[in-house]
Amino acid sequence: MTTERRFNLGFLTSSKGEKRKVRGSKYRKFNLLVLLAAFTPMAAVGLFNVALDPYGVFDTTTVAGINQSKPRKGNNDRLFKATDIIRIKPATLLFGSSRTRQGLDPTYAALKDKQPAYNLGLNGANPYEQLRYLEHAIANNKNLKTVIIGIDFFMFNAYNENQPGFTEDRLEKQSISLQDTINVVFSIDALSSSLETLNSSRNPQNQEGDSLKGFMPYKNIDLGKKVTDWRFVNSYQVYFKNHAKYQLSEKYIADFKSFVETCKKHGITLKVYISPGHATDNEAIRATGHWATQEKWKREIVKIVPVWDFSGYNSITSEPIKEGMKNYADSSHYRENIGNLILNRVLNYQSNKVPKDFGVLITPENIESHLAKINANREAWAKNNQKEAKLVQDIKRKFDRGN
Amino acid sequence: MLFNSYIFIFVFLPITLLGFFTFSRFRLIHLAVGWITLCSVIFYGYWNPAYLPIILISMAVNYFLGVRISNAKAMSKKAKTLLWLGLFFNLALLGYYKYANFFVSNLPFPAIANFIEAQLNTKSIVLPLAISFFTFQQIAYLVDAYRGETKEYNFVDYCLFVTFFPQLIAGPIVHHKEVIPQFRKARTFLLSHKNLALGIAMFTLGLSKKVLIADNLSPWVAPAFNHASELNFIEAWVGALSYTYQLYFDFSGYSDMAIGLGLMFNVRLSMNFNSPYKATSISDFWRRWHITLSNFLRDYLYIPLGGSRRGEIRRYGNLLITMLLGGLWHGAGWTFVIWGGLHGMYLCINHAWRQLNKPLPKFLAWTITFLAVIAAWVLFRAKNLPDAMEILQAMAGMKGIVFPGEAQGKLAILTQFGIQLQSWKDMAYIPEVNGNKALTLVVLALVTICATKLPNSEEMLKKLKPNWGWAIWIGALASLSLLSLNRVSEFLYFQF
Repeated sequence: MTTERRFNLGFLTSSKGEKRKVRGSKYRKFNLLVLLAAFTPMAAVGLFNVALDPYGVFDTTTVAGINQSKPRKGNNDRLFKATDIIRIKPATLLFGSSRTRQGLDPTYAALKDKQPAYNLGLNGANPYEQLRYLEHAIANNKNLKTVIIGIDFFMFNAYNENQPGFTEDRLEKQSISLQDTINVVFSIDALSSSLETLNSSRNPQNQEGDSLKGFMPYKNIDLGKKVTDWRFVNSYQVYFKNHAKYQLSEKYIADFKSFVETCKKHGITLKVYISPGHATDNEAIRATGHWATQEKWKREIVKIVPVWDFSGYNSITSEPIKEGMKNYADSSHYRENIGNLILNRVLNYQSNKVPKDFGVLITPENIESHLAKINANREAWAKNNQKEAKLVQDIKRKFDRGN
Repeated sequence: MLFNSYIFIFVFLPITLLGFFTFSRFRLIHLAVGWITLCSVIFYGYWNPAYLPIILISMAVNYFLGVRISNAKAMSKKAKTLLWLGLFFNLALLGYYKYANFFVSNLPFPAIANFIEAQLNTKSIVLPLAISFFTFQQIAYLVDAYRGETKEYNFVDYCLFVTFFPQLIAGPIVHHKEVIPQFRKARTFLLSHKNLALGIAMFTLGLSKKVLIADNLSPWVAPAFNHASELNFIEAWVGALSYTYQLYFDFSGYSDMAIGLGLMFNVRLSMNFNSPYKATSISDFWRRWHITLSNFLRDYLYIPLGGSRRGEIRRYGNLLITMLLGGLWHGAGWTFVIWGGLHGMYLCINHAWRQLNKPLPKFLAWTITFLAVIAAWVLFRAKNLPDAMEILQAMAGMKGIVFPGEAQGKLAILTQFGIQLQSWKDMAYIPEVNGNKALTLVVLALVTICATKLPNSEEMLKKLKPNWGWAIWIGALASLSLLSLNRVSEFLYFQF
């Protein structure tokens, strides 16, 4: 065997060997060319993606007309908010779903003495995802002082699983993960996002650019009647599609409890509130047959922590659906001015500007009378707003037929 | 580690290559062989280190038995006893890890099933990666040792033959006679730019088949197969064809990558796919699809069963048995067994027809073969037999033939011929390409042309010339594939 394995160095100098050597160098050049042809475009794409930074993870300088407006950030909040937290190390965090994301402004005056504040609202977040982002934030900043979280009934739906964009891999780390880096630099997805960024940034309407503090309200919102109607109808449909099937998750309630306890353990001041969905948002819950489940959810939550409840049928949520609405973008999302009122109430800042019926602190002591009051308000609302109540029911019937 | 991952392409592969050729350069041949064996074991253990003891024990036992068998006189009684022992060991290992659950769940008496389940804890068994492949390879080694056809191999060579990472996970199933001698040739240890070029080209072709074609077809498959009873004529065909092509481009792409990796190390692995969808008969199909498995089944099952030497009736029986077991090898489930049985029947019909000596026109022969193969893939992929029957009925038009179109449109005349029209938007299980369902059909047509008209990877490789054109074509393909490997997973339902 050893003889077989001994090299025959002789052939390299034979004439046959010469020919082999020449051909070998031809292939050597070919291989270099192949590598060049493979890696030049990759390097170009990589550089382009880093320069435009379409997901906002590298803190690259933004240049007006090139990359100040990054539309793909919208669907990738779990990615860029994790890296923002690492960089900004906020003292105040605003948690919640897209309702918080679109409604609470971290630069609002009520938060003036609590800076740097950051909006950590995540699209469709469930309590587990939020708990993990809280742990991520604490791992990156021991001086986190204030947390305000807007919770919603839909979050606690057992079917509201972690989103595909969620990954443990990037959390509780002090830098962006290797996999995330590769994905946002060397991928066709990132390339198309960069092109979209370029395109969007050239549009004069988007001159202003994105908030760098996680706050993402509707941009250039069209408040015309037709578009407003469409947005409301669409948001009922989205609700039915994702939450017609609902099961109150005990695990998520336990995750929320851990969230509260984690804040306590780290000496973080915590304010919890239930978001004010539009009155018809309550009607959508009712149409799925889960109104009582929602009441049960509130009873469970107050056992854990006192909660500011802004939901129900009050002077803010019962704004009629019409053109030029002031309080709502759609049935799910309140607008920034309402977000300010929420902050006023929970932080006891200029409370006199907040309508009296907007925001009730509920505890195990007053929960039953509070729920009874909402039901009474609902009777009155339904009598005066038959058209809106019927609209939601019709959409639910249509949805059921479609399934 | 998957071949189609950055960690493999940019970390594992360069380190393994560098180590191998560095040791080789200094004529440290044993170290070079040891290095690549070690790397292969790491490659295997990277998935789940818990699997490592299983493959290591399997190799040790088989090597030990193989040496004892070849030391005994060929075909002697002692050799035979040892061979049976080895077969029992390998099949018991495979049986426990791959089939225990399946057999227990099919036992007729629940009390017995529960007892065995409790004793063996079958529900918690996790299938070790590649066990079907390395078991088969080693059975072949034992049988050949018994036949006196093995040479003396040392243990490291033997381990390398089993674990050599390019072929370990998904084939080609290599034969010891093909690879072990290659580990002993001086040429193997000399970096060859030509082989490197061919290897890179082959790897790239395979990678692009997997990443650019198969991975894009894969999301089209599940919606159809998960809603078997709701599919109409077109939806069923789109589902079945998508799977037919996904499986081919995925599996043959992976084999191409394996062959390419082998070439980089100057090791030639057997061709595993030769344009199977160009086959004009079922036996032709099996000479082109997963060739190394077909060869294995032929040499170590069909021929030992008697092959065609014991009369026509036995021959048909042997074909059926071989294919039924071949089906079971693919997975522990009835649909796989039925799929194998169906192909066994196809082969019998194929053989009987050939006896008649009336060859069909080529196009007709291809069409019948391809349809038979697609129908069998439906069984292979479906969750269960009733689901498969639903899809096959829809494809056969037994649930009505539906064409895309509006009831009032130009195609309305078709309704007179019993063809129903349905608008695209009502076909829920047809995927969209750029928001357009009609484009999906265009894509499937293009893929059909790729699979049935274009030269396959091996044929392309033979044409490769070391010039600018080829370099740019291969390089660009590699670039596109590498950039398509990574995805940014986005939020699914917008704004809530």
